[in-house]
Amino acid sequence: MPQFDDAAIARLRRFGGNALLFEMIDLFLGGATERVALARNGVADGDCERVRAVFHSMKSSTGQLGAVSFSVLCQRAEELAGAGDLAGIGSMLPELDAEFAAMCGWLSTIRAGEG
Amino acid sequence: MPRIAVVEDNADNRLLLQAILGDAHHVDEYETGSDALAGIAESRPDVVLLDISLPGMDGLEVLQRIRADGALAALPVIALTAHAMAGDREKYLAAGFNDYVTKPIVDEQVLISAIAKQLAR
Repeated sequence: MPQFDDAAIARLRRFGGNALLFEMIDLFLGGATERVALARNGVADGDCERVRAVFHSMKSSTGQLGAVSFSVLCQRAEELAGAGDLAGIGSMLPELDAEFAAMCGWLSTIRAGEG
Repeated sequence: MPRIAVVEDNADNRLLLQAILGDAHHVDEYETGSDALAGIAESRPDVVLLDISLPGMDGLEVLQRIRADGALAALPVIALTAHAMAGDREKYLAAGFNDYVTKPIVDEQVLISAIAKQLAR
């Protein structure tokens, strides 16, 4: 499984050129840190439904943007939250943080016109 | 030009749908289920694309309210969702959706064809 899917980026360019691609990246990156914090706080608060909803939403956004590894982690976290296993998500946080940083770097590179 | 109501809480997904559909459809965007119900009653779209996981009132409840409203009950409603596990398609069709399209959108023709099928009914 590739970490990032360049075909997803090419697809977004086909749908709407760099204008669409860059706006989607800006929208995502503009709210991504807040969404991760919301999930992290939900884990701390024991709020399974909030955590499930945030990871479901991020799974969708990152899947469309081609951030394959992060999207898969979001799906796993969504399933764990749906099963009430917030401790399982807690143990995933280091992996989620690392993959989140890598994804943001990849998207920023594309946004800078270098990808 | 056919009128499509897009009910989707993710701004990036609404932007994408506008890009895919906007040339050939009039697209009305709604961020929440309650906004959508108010807007749909007013604008009477030809097809509704309805996300399942919406904050507050979720897509299933929005669908139930559409089906319970005599003036809107026959409206074609397509589930547009990242719920793509085995059995989800059957579950949502049984709930009363007219069709089911998964996100992420990989082949836009799947979505366009699903809409065209409902417009041709």
